Amino acid sequence: MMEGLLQGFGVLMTVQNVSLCILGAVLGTLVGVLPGLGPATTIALLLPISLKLDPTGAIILLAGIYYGVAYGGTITSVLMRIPGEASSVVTCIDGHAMAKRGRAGAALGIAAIGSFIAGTFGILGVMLLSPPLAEIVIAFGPWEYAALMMAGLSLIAFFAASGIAKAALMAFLGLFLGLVGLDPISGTPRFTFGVPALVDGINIAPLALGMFGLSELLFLALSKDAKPEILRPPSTLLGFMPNREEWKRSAAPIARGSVLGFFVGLLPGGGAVLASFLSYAVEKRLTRHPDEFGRGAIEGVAGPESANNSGTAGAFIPLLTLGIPANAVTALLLGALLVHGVQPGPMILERQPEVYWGVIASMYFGNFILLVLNLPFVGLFVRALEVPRRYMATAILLVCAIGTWSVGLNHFDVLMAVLFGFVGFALRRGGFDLGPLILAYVLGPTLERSLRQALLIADGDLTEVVNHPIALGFLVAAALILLSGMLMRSRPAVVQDGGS
Amino acid sequence: MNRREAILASGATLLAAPAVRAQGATWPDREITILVAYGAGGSTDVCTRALAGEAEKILGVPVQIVNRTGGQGTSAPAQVASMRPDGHTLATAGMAALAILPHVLDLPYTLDSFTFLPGYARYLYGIAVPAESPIRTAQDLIAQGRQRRVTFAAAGAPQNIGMFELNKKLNTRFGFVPFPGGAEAVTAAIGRHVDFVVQNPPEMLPALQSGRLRLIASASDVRWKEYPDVQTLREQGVDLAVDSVLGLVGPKGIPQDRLERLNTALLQAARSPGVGETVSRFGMVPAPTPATEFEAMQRGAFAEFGPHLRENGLARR
Repeated sequence: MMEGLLQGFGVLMTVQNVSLCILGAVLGTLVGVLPGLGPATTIALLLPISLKLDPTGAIILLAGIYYGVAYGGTITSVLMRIPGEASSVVTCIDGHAMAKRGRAGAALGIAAIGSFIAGTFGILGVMLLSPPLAEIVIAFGPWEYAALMMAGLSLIAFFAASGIAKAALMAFLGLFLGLVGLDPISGTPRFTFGVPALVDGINIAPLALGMFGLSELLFLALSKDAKPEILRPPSTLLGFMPNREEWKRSAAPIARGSVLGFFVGLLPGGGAVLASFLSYAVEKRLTRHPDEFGRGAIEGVAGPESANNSGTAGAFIPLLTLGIPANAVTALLLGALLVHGVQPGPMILERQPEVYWGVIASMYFGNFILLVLNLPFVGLFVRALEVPRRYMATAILLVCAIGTWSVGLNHFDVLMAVLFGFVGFALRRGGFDLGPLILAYVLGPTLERSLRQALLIADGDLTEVVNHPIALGFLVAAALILLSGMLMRSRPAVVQDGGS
Repeated sequence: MNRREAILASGATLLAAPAVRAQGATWPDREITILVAYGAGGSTDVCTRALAGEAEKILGVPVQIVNRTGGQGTSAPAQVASMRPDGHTLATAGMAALAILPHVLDLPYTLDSFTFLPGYARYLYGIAVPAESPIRTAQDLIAQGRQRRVTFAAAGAPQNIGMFELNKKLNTRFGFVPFPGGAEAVTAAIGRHVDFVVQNPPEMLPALQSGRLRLIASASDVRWKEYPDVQTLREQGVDLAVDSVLGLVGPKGIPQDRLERLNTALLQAARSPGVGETVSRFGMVPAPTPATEFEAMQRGAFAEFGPHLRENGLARR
């Protein structure tokens, strides 16, 4: 093991590979900051260039982008309430609320440090636990995924600050939006109204950017108070950092988020998005300050931001040891490996140890670079909040428009984002939480596909689920989550975030 | 060498050039774009990039690749069908986009919307079972399929249609469980969530080499080069070969002289050793196919698949 790691650092420590690692991390951060332009698009764009590199160098570069994105996605979430990536959607809730209280620096700082700790934990996990964990991935079939997604959906009980009925309504809307596109089994289009651009479904970018970013813009435009809310930003780097109290409250969420994110990230399909929502729900359940959730609780930033980073690392296990991509990004990485003649799978450690250990070593190094890169800039980013609102509003509009357009180079997406902006504004005005909507939208398609696959396998017999203990376990968990969420709801004074 | 090229070569270039240019003999005079229907890094993408690289040398102009994904691989041909037939924009298309999905989706094109160009690679398919499975040969599989409902994972057409054909011919009960990608289908078989998987080599090889899956037959016309001892379905007495050739199409009505130039150049590129090597490395079989043959292949398959898709409730009507 140590030998392998040393070999890995040996591979990494060439001028070329170190610069590629740094380049990947920087590019990833930028891509993460820009909403819409996701890691998958970027890696697809860079793939032809990476063909000119040797396999290890290419993977170091592409992997750097992948985990760099998880860092960068936080920044716009906190500062502008625009999720840079789907996995940063939850961060919008408390991260932006913290920014409004003047604690943007603390939110960004804790996110960067939590990400670093979680990322490092995730890499350790990849190194130590790869083979046994790969078996878990294999044990998950359609029944297990369907049940896991049900458990994921039950998390809405914890986002139901506005009442379980309203949350359920939002979840149904999210599920419906996820149905648009091709039927996953028969491949026939549905709810597309003859619009070709809808055949591939509604993309997360117009949905999230519209509902969160553009609706925020409408609130900004309507508010009379033209003064920036942040008072006097501290002048030293230390002043931007989380204070002692915030540190104390973040430690446990970071630890829990790291572990949770790693295991959820392992599983194809759910990944980092589910991990971040799950962590948020857990922290909301365990916190001693439930009244602060939705109004800027640092636990609501520390946990999810750690979870989405260790989830990123977790996704490497099935990729490297089984050749199974856990999401669109690792699927591209798999393609990149194959292009270079590297066949991932159980044999990779014997046949191409230099690639395997080179990538692991580069992940350690890349995470360190990202921390060094992100912390000093926290102060700079926070100053962006001092920008007068009219400029800030223009910037948000521009970022949302470019972000949406860059996904598919499609003006229809931009129009949809505008539509979702108004819908999101109306919903938030009406006291609805958007979290359940996004969660259901992300999990719904996997739930539907898995359930229908399961029924195809069982020839339509729903009782077959009793032969799948893991699936049963998730269903019980779903019931418990719903129950405990409802019990918590009976406590008074839960505040929702809508309306700014 | 056609007549116009002969004139050019004969030294009459100076005098003939303006007149000839008007007729397009110096075509192509600018870059050609190929829309690849699948994402960067996949086998379709890499093989087409290799082809483009060779074609570039022959045609003397840049041949660039644009990945136009979506619509299950129909977005690229759909876009090309609506473009000016100047021969500068082409798209990749295989069995799925040309012979199968027109039955399933409401597409803006029919087979008559295209000018067919050469094919260059053949997808290879195989049938594999989990290592613990008692099924060892194609005949075992058929026997099982006659006794009970046997489920298989696949990413979609045309593999599923092959199995539907068997259901009809041999009275088997193979149940299709669709997965969004080949890797997911293979994983489901490794975990024994389905009885077998029908996919391509790139996704199956890691599982086969580590012994988690066992290849029981090549579902194509030829054996896999990695598993020369595993017979094809036909060799094992099961009359089926799933066949899908990847080729290029352009909009209907590309001028004849340009078409000839493209056909010659693309076929020559498809025959080059470099393209063949890349194609093999990606688990496909080099298959330089003249345009007329490629068109006949797709039209034949289109007519044949319609009934199978309708019977299994997968067609629009």
